[in-house]
Amino acid sequence: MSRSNCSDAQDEYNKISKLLEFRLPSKYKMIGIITASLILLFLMSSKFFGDIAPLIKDVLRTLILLFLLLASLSMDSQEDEFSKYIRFQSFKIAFVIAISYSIIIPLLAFIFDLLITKITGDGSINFHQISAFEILFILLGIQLLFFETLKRFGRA
Amino acid sequence: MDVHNRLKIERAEFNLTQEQLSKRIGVSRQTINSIEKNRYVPSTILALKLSELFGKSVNEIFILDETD
Repeated sequence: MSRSNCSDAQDEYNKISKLLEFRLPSKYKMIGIITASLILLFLMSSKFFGDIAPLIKDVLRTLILLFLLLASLSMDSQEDEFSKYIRFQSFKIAFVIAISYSIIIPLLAFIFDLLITKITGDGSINFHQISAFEILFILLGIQLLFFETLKRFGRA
Repeated sequence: MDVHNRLKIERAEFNLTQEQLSKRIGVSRQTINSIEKNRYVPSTILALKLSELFGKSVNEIFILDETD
């Protein structure tokens, strides 16, 4: 490998490394979690106080994901190599759970649908669609939950 | 590959609390606690910092399990 190829590779590695190391200040964790929880509570309570427009619902859902992402990308109050390790572990488990959820839930819904339709004979069977919001919400929620759980193990 | 360590013993010999040790090497107390309980294997950099602090080689503080 020539010297210029080597330095190009190093530059590329440095850029990727910077991207991987990107973290927001730790205050964003609290801001993200509290705001996402408040919006979620508002969305849930809106079912009791009358429906809100689908467009507003979509905007609020996107905001929930955005604030959860802020919390997920924020540094720990005492960021060190152990925090990076448990963050990696929590992303790994969240990824596996979110993918498993997106496979298993439609399958279970399909089986139940098939059974009920067979029993009652009330029409066609629809394959349950999982929204992107559902999957991303589970992914970010589980990542944050597992990160805090693994951090707690470090304290005990 | 499993590794166990003598960090708790070394820390006791130097009469340091987890908090004091963590401050001296610039990590959190959770990190020290997790290493002592064999829940986390530190990076080479951290292992070298500990080695320097206790004046012992990394091999004397971190020991590979015999099965490995």
